[in-house]
Amino acid sequence: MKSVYINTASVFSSDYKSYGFFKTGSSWDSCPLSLTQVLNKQNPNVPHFLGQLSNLGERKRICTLWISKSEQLNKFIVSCSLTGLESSKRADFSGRIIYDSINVTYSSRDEQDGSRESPDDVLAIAAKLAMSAVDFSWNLDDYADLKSFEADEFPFIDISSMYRGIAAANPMTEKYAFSKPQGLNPVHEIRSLAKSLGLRLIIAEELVDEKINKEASVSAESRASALPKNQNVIEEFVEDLEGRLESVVGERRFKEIRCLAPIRWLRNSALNVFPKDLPKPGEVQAKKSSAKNFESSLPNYVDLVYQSTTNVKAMASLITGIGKIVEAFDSVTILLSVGKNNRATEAAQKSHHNLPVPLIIISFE
Amino acid sequence: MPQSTTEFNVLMLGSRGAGKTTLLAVMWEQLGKAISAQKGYFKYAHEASMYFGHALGELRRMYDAPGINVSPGISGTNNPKNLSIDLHTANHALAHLRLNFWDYPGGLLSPEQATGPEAAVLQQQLANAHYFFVVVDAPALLEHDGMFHAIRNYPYPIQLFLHDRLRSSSHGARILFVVTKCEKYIREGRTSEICDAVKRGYDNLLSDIAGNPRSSADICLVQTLGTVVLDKLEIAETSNGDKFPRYYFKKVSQNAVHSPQNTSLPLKLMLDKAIHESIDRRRASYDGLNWLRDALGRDDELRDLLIHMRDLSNRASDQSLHLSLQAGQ
Repeated sequence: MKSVYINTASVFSSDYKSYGFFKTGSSWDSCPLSLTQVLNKQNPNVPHFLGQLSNLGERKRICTLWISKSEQLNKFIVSCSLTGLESSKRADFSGRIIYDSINVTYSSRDEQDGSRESPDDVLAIAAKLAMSAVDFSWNLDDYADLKSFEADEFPFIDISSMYRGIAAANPMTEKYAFSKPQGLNPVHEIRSLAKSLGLRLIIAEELVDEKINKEASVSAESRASALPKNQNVIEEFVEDLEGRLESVVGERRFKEIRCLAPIRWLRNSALNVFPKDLPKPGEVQAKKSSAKNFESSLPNYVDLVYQSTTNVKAMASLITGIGKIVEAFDSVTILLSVGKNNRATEAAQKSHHNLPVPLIIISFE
Repeated sequence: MPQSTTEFNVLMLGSRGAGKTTLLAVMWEQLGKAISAQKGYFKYAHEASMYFGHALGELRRMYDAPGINVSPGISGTNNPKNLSIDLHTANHALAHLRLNFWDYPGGLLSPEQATGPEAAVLQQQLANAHYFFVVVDAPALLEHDGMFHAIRNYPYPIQLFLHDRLRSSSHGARILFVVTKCEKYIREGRTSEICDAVKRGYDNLLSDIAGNPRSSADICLVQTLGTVVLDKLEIAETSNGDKFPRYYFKKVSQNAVHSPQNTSLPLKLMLDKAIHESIDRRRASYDGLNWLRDALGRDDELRDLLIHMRDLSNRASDQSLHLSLQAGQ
């Protein structure tokens, strides 16, 4: 399933609103569902940060990329939104600039769609959108029909050309090699691939598995005593991820990002989960441990905030790196947020407490 | 000291581009700057401060543009905004009053968006609002003999929206017509013409208001920019032959700066009602013991703040730009 949503306004009549299209064969038809409905349908377990993706009325320039690979759902989902695209050619009846927003979504499996399309073009568009979050010269004007706009009609009359055009504009040279949906099943292959990319990501994942398996036999006291060890694992996990990104982005560029503004590791929110969720001394005996409580104390996400505004090439490399990270996991959710916005990450962190998959949030500010 | 915070809900009604967002941002900025910290202060929820900050930034940017031709206002959005502002008095951590502004996209007033979840929420908020701002686009009301008033200001949908509330609610409805984009006409001395046009343009709504003695109606003329005036209003046409207006604005001079006028007046009128409501609700819960409240001066701070804000507004506003049509009981 592939869909495109565009939020825009015409010159005068109705206010800003979203127009949805889904691909049927080689053509694009109007979609009666809202973007929120489409995203919820693809993965109903993660509603909170889907709000960030579907908030196409946002006027700030923010890119949100959501990649979710789930063995359980046997699904690979990519959804990317870029908001706040300032038109340089279209102004409304009172001379105000028109702002557009766009979302593209791919799902490897959809009950009503027998076709198994490749995600490559959606990923290429996602990469272009992520890069355009810091490249303010890019907008959707090339695909807007000005005559339609001036006639007070929806200006993006050829969705097919627009889709192809944005996908072709992706300047990345390295091809993605995401697993095909069938490839989600042979877990050992993914593990092998992950090993070739780096071990510690797997350690973090195995930590999740291991702790879930041992949940019934682990007391609150031993969890408390294990805390420093867990923190060490998180430290290693983060350092490894840093190393991985550095190797992908390239040392020089990475240092350039650091030079612009030092990287802030926002691990506090992850680490704070431990003391918050651990039973207080008086409650230790009385509190019956549950899988849910246990899961919520797992260090299964890391929030990395990079501060950079202009390094487009580094962004392109980073997107490639994210692709490799996705490859390394059996089940993983990645949320990339580009732009001045932390609410996406906050919402993702809240929503993720009950998800037994690692979540990596990479935010650019 | 307040034991609880009184919620006071304000629903903004107005079409796309009428100036709702600009009005909200400018009037809060003006009043926030003027209020004495010893008397009280406003505390903005995160979303409200971000929203107003962005809006004011956009307005400043507009003045920075070279030349005199400008595109005033802030581009619309399809996100309904629920903006909360707390009113505190000095020395008290708990707010006396929480003002909730429901700023809806103008498009929700168009027939094609009359259904759906957002329209349902709008209906609910219509019932729960304590105060209504009807934002009126002055050029649509006055230019070309008001030919665009119906499609720009939606007088009939607004009247129908409010009809049940005005006819059946025992509380009635307090309605403030805030006329925006009227810099040109005020400069030309046409204030009474604007008020007459509002009365004519909303006669059905005013008739409903008159039918409920608990309801009130006021007209306020505000200049949210002060130094940007309408240059001309051209008539454009869609492919279907439907006519729509195209506005052109200009700064009064190349060096013009943002100089809003009269923007604290709508706030004063609204806050008058809100503070009275807050005091009334508090006193209602102490029925029979209010002599003790008075002896202890429990409501003095709020009353002082009310007097202070009235004083500020009276000094900063031109009272000739306010017309009270019906006081309400």
